[in-house]
Amino acid sequence: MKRMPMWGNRAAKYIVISGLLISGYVHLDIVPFHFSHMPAHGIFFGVLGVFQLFAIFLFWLRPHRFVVMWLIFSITGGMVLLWGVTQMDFTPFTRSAEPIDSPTIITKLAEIIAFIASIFHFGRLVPKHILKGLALSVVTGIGTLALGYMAEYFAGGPPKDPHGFPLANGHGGTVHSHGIYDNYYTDDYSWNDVFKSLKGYLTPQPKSSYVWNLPTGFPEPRVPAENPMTEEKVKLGRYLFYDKRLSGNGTVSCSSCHFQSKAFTDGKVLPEGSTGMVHPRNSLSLTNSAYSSTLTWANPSLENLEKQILIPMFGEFPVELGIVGKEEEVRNRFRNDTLYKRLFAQAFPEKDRYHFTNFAKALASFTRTIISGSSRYDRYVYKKDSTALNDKELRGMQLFFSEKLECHHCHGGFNFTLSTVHKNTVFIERPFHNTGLFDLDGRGAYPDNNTGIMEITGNPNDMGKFRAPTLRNIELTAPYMHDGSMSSLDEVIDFYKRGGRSITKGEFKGDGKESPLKSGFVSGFELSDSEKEELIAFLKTLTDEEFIQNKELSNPF
Amino acid sequence: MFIGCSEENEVILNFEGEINGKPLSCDQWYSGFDINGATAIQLKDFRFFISDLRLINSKGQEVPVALEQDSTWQFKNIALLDLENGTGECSEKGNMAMNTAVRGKIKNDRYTGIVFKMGIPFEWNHVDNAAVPSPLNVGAMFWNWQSGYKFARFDLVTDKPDREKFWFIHLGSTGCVSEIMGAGPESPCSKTNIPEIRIENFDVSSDIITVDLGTLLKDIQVGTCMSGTDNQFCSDLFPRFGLSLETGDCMDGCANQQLFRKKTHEAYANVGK
Repeated sequence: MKRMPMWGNRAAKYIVISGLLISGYVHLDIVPFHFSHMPAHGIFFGVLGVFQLFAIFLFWLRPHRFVVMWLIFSITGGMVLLWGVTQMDFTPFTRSAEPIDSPTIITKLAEIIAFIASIFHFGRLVPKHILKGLALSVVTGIGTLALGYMAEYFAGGPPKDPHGFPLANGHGGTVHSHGIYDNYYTDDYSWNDVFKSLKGYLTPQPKSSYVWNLPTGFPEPRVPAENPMTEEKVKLGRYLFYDKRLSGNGTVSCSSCHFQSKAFTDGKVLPEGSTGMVHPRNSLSLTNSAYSSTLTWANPSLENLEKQILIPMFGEFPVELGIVGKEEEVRNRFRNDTLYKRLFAQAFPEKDRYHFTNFAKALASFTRTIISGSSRYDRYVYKKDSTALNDKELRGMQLFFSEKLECHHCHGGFNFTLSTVHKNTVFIERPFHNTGLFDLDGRGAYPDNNTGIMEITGNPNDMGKFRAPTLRNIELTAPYMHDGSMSSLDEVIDFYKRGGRSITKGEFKGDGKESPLKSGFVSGFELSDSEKEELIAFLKTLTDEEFIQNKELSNPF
Repeated sequence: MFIGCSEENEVILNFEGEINGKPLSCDQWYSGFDINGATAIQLKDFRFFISDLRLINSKGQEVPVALEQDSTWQFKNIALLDLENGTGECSEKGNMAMNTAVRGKIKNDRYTGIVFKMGIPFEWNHVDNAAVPSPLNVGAMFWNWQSGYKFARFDLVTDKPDREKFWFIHLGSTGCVSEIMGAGPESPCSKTNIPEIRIENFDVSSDIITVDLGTLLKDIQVGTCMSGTDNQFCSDLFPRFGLSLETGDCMDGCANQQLFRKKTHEAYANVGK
């Protein structure tokens, strides 16, 4: 055998060893994190790490062996290739939201450098084998992939849960997740869990072109199958949301009643539509409406934003955007606009794309991104930052979650309303409550223009039942209640403390406290003035400054 | 998968709700009560969690049933029983779906009794309920991280005057202490409040469990009880679950609980008629 100059070979050898050392240890380092959300993923990295470290000894002892060369190639170049393929959009391995984080960058760099050095090393050592070596590395890569495909084939196709939610397309966003095969805060895995998650790891993942950017602890919203999220629709929706040309007479846009600075409410008791007609209901905050199991203040059948958005667009009683009768005119404003030509073409590839259903789809997609979860409360609860709330606020939090006040029976869960649905919800809850705001006739009557879901269901027992809205950003969304009849949180808490509102004069005279239709959860409670202050201080920790300043939700014009 | 199918048997444990001899329903008034000023009640909600279901073999050993993982009603060793159908008074918090059985598999053997718990084991009781699968993500059954789930939720309307007509019976752990609120407690709650129900001479293939709100409430002072230790109604009600309100543990092995019983054979005689 021809002996090559020592310096070159030795350098190559050390580079290979260092590369393997780095990637091996990094892979071992990330094992616990991956094991905790999906055992098979952790085991994969563990085995890989051990292999990469073990290979160093083989390489050290037998640097001339062909089989060692094959091993080194496959755990350096082969791994980069495997990783590359899992990142590519056209392969069945692609996951949405696989982050390229620092361990990824470090290991891939170390592996690729070690791979190049190993070609150099083995090539110098056995020049006639250099082509064979390259060929082998390709074969190794193909072999690794083939193994993956075979595993998928024998595992019987992509596993799905019985409700058709795609596997491994988990909680979305930049959160690394394997969906239903994630492990949930426990360490009692059985081998069955490991097999199942291994199967999930090796099988094709559904692709989603949309990456949710969700706050920590937030589940992925449920999106109707007929309107999957895309960046393009969100972008178009954002322009439409802020565009006054969407109203019949061109005077108002969605944003006229939903200001970002007020958590997408308008600060008025009752809003006015494009023609000046007053809406009987207070502008609802759009905060986290992606998670609302029903939309608007009181409609049990209105379950998605696509349907809901048609109401402000086409509603006549009251007129909001007021498009009715001006459909063609409104559509043409967008059809003939250079900016919207581009935005619509990107969002809706079909030829005939200026349907109002597409307007609604784009607006719904944008509205689903109006997500708030970066308040101080979230820092305290989800980021485990115990300094985020002060003692007074913590005492308020204790009161909020106490059985004495019972706030959480209606305003519970991550979104501070039980009227919440997300991707993994099986049983959708659509609660509505009569909180005793009115009792006009001793039988619980509410004012005629605002009877709650009775208006929809026709059931007299549904009189005065409204949906409990989220309390997130509640500090910014005054005035309160469906009719905007309470101006401050102070007033709202006094009302719940009393267990109903007494109106002593005027057309709405009556004591809601005594209403036979009032929810059993609004029974009143004792609360001192200082406790009230603590409760309000807690509610204010739900204000999300990042959210109201989020550029992606702001006016694009 | 390495165990032959013949060695495992399917287990379906059926539950049947009852009040004073009548089947449970959300649309009906149940009379014949004389408790705390009420003579009749109506259901508003009726859901509870069952966990750690075991069958007792002829040697007296308790053999765990592996629950079917359906991502709907059952998760790990926990099952949600839902005897309300979301109609009538149940529409405020309830839903249409119902579940009256626990399904699973067990090693083939002769079994003569059953044991189960009404509640959620500590390690699953204080999770982030937005991040766990169904049935643990049902919002109406969750308090918060610190207190965990409502193991049982029996919401009632009575014929008392409007202001006192609602009775909420929520069973769950109390005395749960977390370092920070909004995170689960590190150590188990001081009062677990999970009754363990044992029924001997029970053949799971043919017998049914009656869940009887009538016997639970009979002749005691009842009102809203959300498991608070200082609640006067809880002190009457807890022994009916077999529990001590003071310790949160079973008294005499929960043997005196009045909620669950094997359905009597006289009742069977009427089935199918």
